[in-house]
Amino acid sequence: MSGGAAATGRLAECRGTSVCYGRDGSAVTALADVDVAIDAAEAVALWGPSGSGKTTLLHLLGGLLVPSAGSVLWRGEPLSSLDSAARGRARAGGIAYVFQGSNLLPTFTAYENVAFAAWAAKRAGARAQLEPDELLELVGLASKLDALPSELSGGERQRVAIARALAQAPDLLLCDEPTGHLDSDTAGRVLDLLDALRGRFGFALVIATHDRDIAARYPRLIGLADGRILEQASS
Amino acid sequence: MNATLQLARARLGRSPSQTATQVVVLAAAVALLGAMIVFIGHSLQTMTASATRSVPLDLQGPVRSYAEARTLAAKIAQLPYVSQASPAATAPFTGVSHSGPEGISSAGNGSILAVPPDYSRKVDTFRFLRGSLQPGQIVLDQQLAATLQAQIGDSVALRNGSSPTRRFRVSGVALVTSPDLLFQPLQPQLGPAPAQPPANVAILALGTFARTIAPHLHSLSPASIGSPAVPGAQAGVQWQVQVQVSPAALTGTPSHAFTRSGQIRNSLERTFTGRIGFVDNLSSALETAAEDALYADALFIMLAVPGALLGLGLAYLAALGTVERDRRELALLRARGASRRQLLGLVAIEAAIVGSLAGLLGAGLAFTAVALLIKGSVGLTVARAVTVVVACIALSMAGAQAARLATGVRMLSDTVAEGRRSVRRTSRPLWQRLYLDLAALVLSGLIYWLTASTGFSAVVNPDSNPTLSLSIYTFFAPALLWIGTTLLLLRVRGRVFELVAKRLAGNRPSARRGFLLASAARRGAAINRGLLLVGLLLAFGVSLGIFAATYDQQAGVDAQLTLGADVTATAPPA
Repeated sequence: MSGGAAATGRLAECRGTSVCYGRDGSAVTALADVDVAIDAAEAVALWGPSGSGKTTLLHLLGGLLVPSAGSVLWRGEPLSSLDSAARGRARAGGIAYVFQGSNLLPTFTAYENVAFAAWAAKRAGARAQLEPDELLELVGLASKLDALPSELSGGERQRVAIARALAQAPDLLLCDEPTGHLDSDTAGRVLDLLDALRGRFGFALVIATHDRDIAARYPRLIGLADGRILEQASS
Repeated sequence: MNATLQLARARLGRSPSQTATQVVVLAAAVALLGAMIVFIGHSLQTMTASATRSVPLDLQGPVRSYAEARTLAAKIAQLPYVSQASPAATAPFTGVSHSGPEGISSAGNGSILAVPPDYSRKVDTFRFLRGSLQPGQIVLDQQLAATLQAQIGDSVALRNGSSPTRRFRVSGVALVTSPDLLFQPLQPQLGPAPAQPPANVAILALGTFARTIAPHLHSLSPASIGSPAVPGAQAGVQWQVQVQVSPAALTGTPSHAFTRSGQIRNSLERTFTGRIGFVDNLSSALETAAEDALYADALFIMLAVPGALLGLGLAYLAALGTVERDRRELALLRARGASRRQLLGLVAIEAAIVGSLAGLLGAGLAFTAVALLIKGSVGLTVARAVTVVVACIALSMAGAQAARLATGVRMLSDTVAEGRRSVRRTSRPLWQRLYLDLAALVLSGLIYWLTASTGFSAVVNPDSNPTLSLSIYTFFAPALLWIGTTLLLLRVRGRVFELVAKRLAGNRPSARRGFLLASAARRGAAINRGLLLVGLLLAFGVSLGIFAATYDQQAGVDAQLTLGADVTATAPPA
């Protein structure tokens, strides 16, 4: 989707990556020797209980975190060895996030939240196929363009967050428990929306969830427990 | 209560950097007021000390006889607030002559001062240029010594009307520095009346005087209005007790010291009812100093009050740093069943802890700043140090409590769900709905008009009594102007700025400037806080300006009153 065309081939890869928090006696291993590869346009569910390492793995794939050991590649290039600014540019050029909480800017309207992300992505060389108002219309919020986050419901805020992620024209969309704060009906609609958007724009989707039913919606599942991959299944 | 205290400590300790920042900002804010209190307190005390030092002779009490003067002086000297009490006497003489190698030199009438030989150790009405006061001998004022061309060891003849001429050996030459006080007519009912001093002054030891001169003169009665108002025309011996009040009894501001000196005089007169009344030179000097101290009071009102407001504003802003986090956390506790009382107690305890720490730190900063800025001792007593610390703590706690309690009360008036929101819906504050800004401005204008139409001025004109007259109402107009202007600025921000920012940003911003303006248009609280601070700074500046202008105007009026024209200072010729 970056530059208007869907990416092909391998997008992101973790090779023998480990992440430890703390030092010496108080060190906690969040991920231990994990190998994961994400191809273009595929949909992957990271499933596991709380504390299994899902969020840490998402952060590694997105370049938000540098591994203690191993390496992370983005489009074949080493991401983990880049400095913070270079990783930021790489993210702006193709990686978007949807967090559990929508994390919208409180003094921006729905439109401005999306437009601001589009402006930042444009500066990094990416251009979305749709304008901010079109993206909001796509997620069903055409009538809420001028609403502040405080004036939106939880589901609406999450849909604005998705539109904001799309404004970055991502090749890889990383979602960390995007439905964690929503009721089951609203959660279902948000997931349906993500699937529809993936079908339309062709980005790769990695979604972290502790819900087995949600994980089962996706063709590839990676199960995590105690920082290790327990299972990898493809349907 | 114990659990609330523990929770408050935990909340503060869990975010040490935010707590430390709040404490430091609050401390810096209150240090301004603390330093001002120390500085102005020091200035007022310096005025008191200076006024006290300028009085060479505090109290003079006329009595009937030598014996009574000695008895009363001995008793008064025992009192705790008295540093010195001496019997003394003044009397006229009609002439004095000296026979030297160049012939006989004579001088006309003058006055005798009779004091104990150790008198000049604690009383500074004269000082010896040469020699000393010895029993049976005489000390001449330097002017008289020059007229007579007399030296130490020479013999002079003192005449007094029909009394026999007495010869005394000169034991010293002195400079009489306060003849106007020493020889003033002593009428306690009328108070001090310094007048033209005698041309010739001779000093005798009191015992010598009592033995040789006094028996030939009649003693003046203390109640007698016959005590002459014209020096030199004194017809008899004026026995008196001269009292120096202990400086330790005269502390604080000039007005406080003035009150205290009056109490001391009254106490003395009550203790020896009917036996002595005092002419109070000290109170007279302190009263003048207290009037001068009005300038310092005005300085305090014009500088410290806006300074305190500025400090309070800064303290409030510092405390607002954690308001959003507080609001959500308190709402969470409320959702868990905490009562309103417990929550308000929690925020009050937190504010008290932060305020106490900041107050102590602020007071320390104030003491340090004053010590660095003022050379020499600032005369910091324990009482004043405690006052400064208490004021600093009170101000910082007020700032912290204002912000936190406002948050707590607002949260309690909302629903729990509203309180837990990460972004709040905002409504117009009460003062905007009541139009308090416009009311303050109208009232300010009304007071200005009233004061102008009645011709009232904070500065006296040359036709009036030369005493600074300050009315509290004079300060209402600028105070209301400051408040009204600041609130109006806030309202203007709420309307005009938002409209302008929105218009500049456009409905659909797509560039950096548009995003910044769109965000700024909605950051009402933050911009209001900034405007509030600017308003307070403006108030401070206007306050300084008004004070400086008033001071200059008063100085000009004083110069005209004294000299009849403006004073022009020119550099001396090279």
